[in-house]
Amino acid sequence: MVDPVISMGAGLVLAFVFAAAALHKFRDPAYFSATLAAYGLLPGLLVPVAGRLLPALEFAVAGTLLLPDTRVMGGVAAALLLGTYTLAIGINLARGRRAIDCGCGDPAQRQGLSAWLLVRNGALAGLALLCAAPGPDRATGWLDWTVAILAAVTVCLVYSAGNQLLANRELLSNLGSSHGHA
Amino acid sequence: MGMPDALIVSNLLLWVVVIVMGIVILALVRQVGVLYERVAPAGALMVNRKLKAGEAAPELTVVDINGRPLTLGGVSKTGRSTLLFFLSPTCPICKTLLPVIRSAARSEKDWIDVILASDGKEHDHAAFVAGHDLGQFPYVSSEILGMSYGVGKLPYAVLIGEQGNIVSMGIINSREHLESLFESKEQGVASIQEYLNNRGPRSEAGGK
Repeated sequence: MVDPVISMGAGLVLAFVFAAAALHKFRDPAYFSATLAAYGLLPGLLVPVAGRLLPALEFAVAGTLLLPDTRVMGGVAAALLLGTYTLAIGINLARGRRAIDCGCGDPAQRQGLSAWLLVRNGALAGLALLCAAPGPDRATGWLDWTVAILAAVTVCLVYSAGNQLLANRELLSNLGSSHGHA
Repeated sequence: MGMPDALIVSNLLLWVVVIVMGIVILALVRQVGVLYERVAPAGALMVNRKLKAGEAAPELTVVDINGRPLTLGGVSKTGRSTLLFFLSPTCPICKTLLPVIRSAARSEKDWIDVILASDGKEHDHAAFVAGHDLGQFPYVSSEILGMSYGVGKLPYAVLIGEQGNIVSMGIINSREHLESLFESKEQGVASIQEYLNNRGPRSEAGGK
């Protein structure tokens, strides 16, 4: 039993995460396709198709998460997508390939693969489950929506800061061991 | 105003404060990232742990993907310098730099030969060369080459002078990084540190 404020808030956060990620992929399809190719999991012919399809899918999921009626479906779809991405990252980590770009979002924030990405995606999948979970049948008013929006904004800020911290680990390693450790 | 109203107002105010602090934290973390980028050595500044600029480049004979032997290092018989560019078929940044390499090879063709170095037996190098129109460059797939030159991160480039010495080397993420390698040949210094050290305090007697 998850309170509607929590499931609404989780839906808003995921909508933001998916829309932002989709926007980055959409803006530079060539770079995203190159990143997909580097993952080495799709046959060559499917890579450009997936390169266009995935951002569109992510936008669609973001849309369904925003509307209360489709939120449960959106949560399930989000969990499935996240699971697929996490599997792809996990397979490449098992192959020992850390230097490839994760392709999660901002190409400027060149993020290699690491176990932290698995943790982050796991947390996002948890959010997806929260927004798909059933809640008590209580009436929701303006206060519930207000709190959900405020909480979502807060979590999105923390999420963005967390992503930047992950990217900073890479940049720090470029400075070499004389500048401290990641 | 009853207790519940006061609590609601307090709660909403706290959310606003938390959000503002979240913005401040995000801004700080972004600034730290920018700082790391600015401080990071790249291009001619990069410090290679295996080789030093000014040393003789390791002399190796390798075979390119067309089966032709190539000698790297040693005094050049043609008096030309060599740009040894390390890349990989699975490196997206390397691919974005290919046009830069092509145009650099064209504009510096009077004194530089460009050689592409890759590795990884599992990659289809022939397809990569064909797919990206790299046939004009000798393409060598050799793990030993990367290891001999102490190459860690890609894309990486080493500029070998006509005397077989390493003029400069470093991670290449942009056209500017590549051009900084050529600049250091023109200036006769291996890196910005050396350039700044040479200029030194003017009162130093006998200084360069």
